[in-house]
Order: sequence, then C-alpha cells, then structure tokens
Amino acid sequence: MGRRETKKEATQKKILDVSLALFQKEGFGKTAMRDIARKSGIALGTTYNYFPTKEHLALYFFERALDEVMARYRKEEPPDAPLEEKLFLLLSIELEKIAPYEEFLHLILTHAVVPTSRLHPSSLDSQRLKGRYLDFVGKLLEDSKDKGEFASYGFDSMILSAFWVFHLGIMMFWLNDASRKKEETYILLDKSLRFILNALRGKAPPRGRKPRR
Amino acid sequence: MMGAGRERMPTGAAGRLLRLGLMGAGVLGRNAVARVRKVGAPEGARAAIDRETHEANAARIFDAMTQMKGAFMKLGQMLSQQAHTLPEPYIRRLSDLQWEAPPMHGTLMRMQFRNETGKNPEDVFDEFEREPFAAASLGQVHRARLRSGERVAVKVQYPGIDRSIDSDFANLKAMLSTIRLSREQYGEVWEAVEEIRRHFHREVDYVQEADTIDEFRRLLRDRGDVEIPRVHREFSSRRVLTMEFLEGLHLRDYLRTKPTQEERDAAGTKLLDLFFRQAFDFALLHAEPHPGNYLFLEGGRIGLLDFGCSKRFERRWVDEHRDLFRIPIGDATELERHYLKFRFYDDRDPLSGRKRDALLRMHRLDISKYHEDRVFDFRDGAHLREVMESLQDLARLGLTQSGFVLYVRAKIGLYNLLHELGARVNCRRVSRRYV
Repeated sequence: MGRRETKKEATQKKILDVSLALFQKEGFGKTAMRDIARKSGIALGTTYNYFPTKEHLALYFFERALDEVMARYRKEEPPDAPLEEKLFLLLSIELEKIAPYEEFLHLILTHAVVPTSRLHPSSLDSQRLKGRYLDFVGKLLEDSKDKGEFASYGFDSMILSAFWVFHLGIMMFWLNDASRKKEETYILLDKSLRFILNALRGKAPPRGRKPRR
Repeated sequence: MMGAGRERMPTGAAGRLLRLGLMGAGVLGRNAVARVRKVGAPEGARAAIDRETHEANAARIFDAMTQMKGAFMKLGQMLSQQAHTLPEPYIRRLSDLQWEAPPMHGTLMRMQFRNETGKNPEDVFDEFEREPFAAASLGQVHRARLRSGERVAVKVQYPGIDRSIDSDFANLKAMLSTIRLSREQYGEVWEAVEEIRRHFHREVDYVQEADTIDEFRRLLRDRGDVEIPRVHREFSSRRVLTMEFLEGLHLRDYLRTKPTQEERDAAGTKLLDLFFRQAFDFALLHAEPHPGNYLFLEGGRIGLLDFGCSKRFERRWVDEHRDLFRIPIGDATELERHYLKFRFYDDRDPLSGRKRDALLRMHRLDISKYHEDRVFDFRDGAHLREVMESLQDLARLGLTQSGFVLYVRAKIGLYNLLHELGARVNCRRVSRRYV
C-alpha cells in the first residue's frame, strides 16, 4: 500500500472511530456530519469526500469488519475440522468483532428497515457486502466438498442464500440475547449448525428415531 | 424488545420442551396402546407387552437425554445408579449414558475457555490437546502441559449447563410421570431427583469443586497412599478446572495388568478405609461412585478424581451411623431404641413394624461383616444384590432421610467397585478404626 493510501485509510478509520463514539452517545439520527468533522479535527469538505452520508459511514464499518473477520478466520482456521466447526468459528469471530458495537447496531437496525436506505438488506451496497461474504462461505463449502464431506446437490446458490438468512437470524438473536456472555447464542449456533449440516449430508440426527416405514 | 419473554425462557427451553413434548406424546401413546393390547391377553403375553413398552419408552427417553446433553445426561447417569427399582430396560439404557457424551468441538471448547479465563488455551499452556481424552457429562477433559512442564488435565464445561438445570429437572419430572410406575417407585425416584437437583447446582460450580479438592488434600495430607490432583487456580474458573494430571490406570485397565489377589485385597482395603475415614472422620464424602473416578497408581497408591458431587454430613447424622456399627447384630431391642431415637419412624407410624423389620434386615445383612473379625469376599455377587434389595425395601417404606440417598449411592458404588476389583477385605479391622 502506498503512503497516500495508508494516509487515506488512517483518515477514514479516524472518522469512523469518532462517528461510532458519537452514534453511541447521541444516537445515529441525531449525529450530524458537522459534529463528526469537528470532533475528528478534519475539514467538513474532506469528511464529505470520504463519506457523503452517515449511511456510507455505517457501510464502511461493515466493510472493514468483514475484512477483519475474514483475515482472522484465515489465521485461525482449523484445517481438518468439519464444516460445522469452521462455520461456527466464522460466525463466532463475527460476533466477537461486532460485540463492542452492540448499541450502534441497535441504532442502525431502525434505519436499515427503511426501503430507500443504503443499509436496507436489498440495497445495492448491502448486496455487494452480502456477495463478498457468501463468496467466502461458498469457498468453505467447496473445500468441504473437495474433501468428500458433501455431495454436490446442484442448488448451492440456494444453500448459500439460506445460509445468509440463517446468519442474519443468528445476529438478531445475538442482539437480543441477555444471557451471560451471550452464551445462548453460541449454544443455538452450535446446535443449529450441527443440525443443518447433518441434514445437508442427508444424515439423520445422531441416534434419531427409526425411519418410518 | 423480547425482554419479558426471554426472562421466562431458560436455556434452550423451547427446543427441549419441543423434544420432550414429542417424546412425551410417544411415551403416552405407547402406554395407551399397551393398555389396550393387554385387555384379555394371557398373563405371559401381558408381561411381554409391558417389557416391550418399557423397552421402547426407555429407548425414546435415552435418545432425548443424549441429544439434550446438559444436566439431563448427568441426571440420567445418576438416576441409573440410584433408582434401582426402575424397570430394567430404563436402568440399562440410562447406564449407557455414561459413555455417550457428545463432545464440544475444538472451536467451541476454545471459546468457552477464553470466555472463562480471558485467554486462549495456547496462550496459557505449552501444549494443549484439542481432542478431549475423557468425557465428563457436564463437559470434557483435555490433556495439557503447563509452561513449567507439568502435565495437567483441563476440564471445560459445556456452555449454558448451569442455566438449564432447573428447566431440565422440571422437564424430567414431567417426563417421568408418563412412565407407569408404582407409587413406591415414584416415591423413590422423586426423592432421588430432588436430592440430585440440589447437588447439581453445586456440581456445575468448579470453584466449589476446587475448594472441595483443597479440603480433601488437606484432610488426607498424612496419607502417602492416596493421591488427589492439585488444582491450578490461576487457570481455573467456575467453568474451567485445571488440575494436576495423575498417571494411573482405571479399574478395567488395572485388571488387565493381572494384579495378584493380595494386591487386589490391599487396594480394596484401602478403598474401604478411605470411605470410612471420609464418612466418620471428615463427615465429608466423595460421593461419586463411578469407577472412572478411581485411579490405580504405581506402588499400590489410589488416585481420587472428580469432587463435584461431594456430600457434607451433619455431625449428628455421622454419630447416628457410628452407633449403628456399634450395636451388636441381633440386639433388636437396642437397635429399635436407636431407630426411635433418630426418628427413623415413630410409634404412631402404621408402618413402624415393617420399617423396623426392614432396618433390622439391612443391619444384619450389611453391618454383620463389620462385626466379624474375618475376611469378607466382595466377589460374592449375591451379597451385593441382597444389600441392594434390602435398600430398595427401605426406600419403598419411605426411609429416605436427608443425606441418605447420596450416602447410599457412595456405599453401593464402593461395594460395586470392590466386587469388580475382586477384593477380599477384613471389614472389621477397617471399621474399628473409625466407629
């Protein structure tokens, strides 16, 4: 990375950190770009150059989070583990990553339901993020298939879409999980991944009931 | 948003209830079918239908328990050792649970470790095996090596167990009430379930277990022949317990080394002595009779593991039991005075005659070996069965004092162990040191 890019990234990161703090304190709606610029010590024009709206800022947050999650996953991946363990690792890294920003995520949620918002799940920006994420998950699935863990079903894109919904469901559960260290989310994640992956393998749950004749 | 609903909902309760509901429906359905089939059937066929129904229900309950893991698994094990009056298929199925803990994968275990200690296992240990070497039903045990080079065993609890205990027990009661049992059987099972539930809350707390281990180590510090693993508090918490790794053999492997009869007898004597010392000197009992919790070490030493389920007795209770060992066999008058004094029953009790007879029988059966200065052969399986039957009689008559259940569990567990070990012990010589 050139010096210019490094500087650019450092500025973006600074603006993001300041905005996250302000969002948590003042609320997403009440924070103005002007406040962000002033608090960051960066000219308002420059701030707008980087982030035309607060929604761009939020998207940048998710973009960065995704980069970091994927990088950490690659570092920690247990190579011989079954897919359920790999997916558990991926999702638990995501949860750990977003854990400090729980309040911010709650604030974002109310904005994300507005259909015209860039944060809405079907917006182009969200779709792009989703695409990057699912490419990553798709590679994990491919690896498992190469190892003979799964047969090819011919509906992989549907499996990935279903996984996206599952992933959002886990995030929602996590946001509303009041248990100690959010352990109910992890129990749900563990059990549901085992269940889903067994179903995908065409296996009955372990020691399940006899098939009906 | 979901606050109120969430408060009411214990860990995984929805899934558990759902599965229970499905399973309960199946059990009830099978009971109903069995009732219909039994109408007009000859005696032999009825028994077969009963057996078949119990078999199917036991399989169903077993499946549910294993899949739910948590407190349920452990409870299944304990109940199998405890409730001897349950129909045989249940006992058999429940005993299977001992060997069937579905493991946490490495990532979940590592996360649980980090949540508990604030560090990853690899930051703390020089080596850490991701695969567990033993399954504890509330978690699993991993081999590891400290930076100092010392080998340790690290017990990691499955997340959420403590939160699920009460809902599991409520579910279990609901489930057990679908099994057709006699009132006596229910009485025994209920009593056992309640006692176990209380201890469960202690057992999931590894800090308490660490305290108990320290206490046992202190109490037994004069005994060079008994090893209790040292706790490493700096790598332990409520849900992670790091202990010294004891090099030794479990009973099954020990027996494969073909120990001589003298060695078996010596080990048996040591184990019985240990039991008496705990019950009467310490009033604190390592009440986990699972054979996996004993290790046979070099030089005839004994290793004790798993202190999660220890039981502390009141002094009064200990004295009462000490007296039981002192009164001569057959001295019905003295024994009866004792039973009344300690309120095993009273004069107005319509069952007092039956209770007295059952207690006298038990006394004769079990305690006589502590009165005669001769070697008692624990290889005698018939004796064990008789003692067990006699205990069941006591339970049926409602003679289940507080503490009794766990004391009995430990004692029967010990007798079982001595039986499997094939030990011969001069019980009198052991007991007279303590009673």
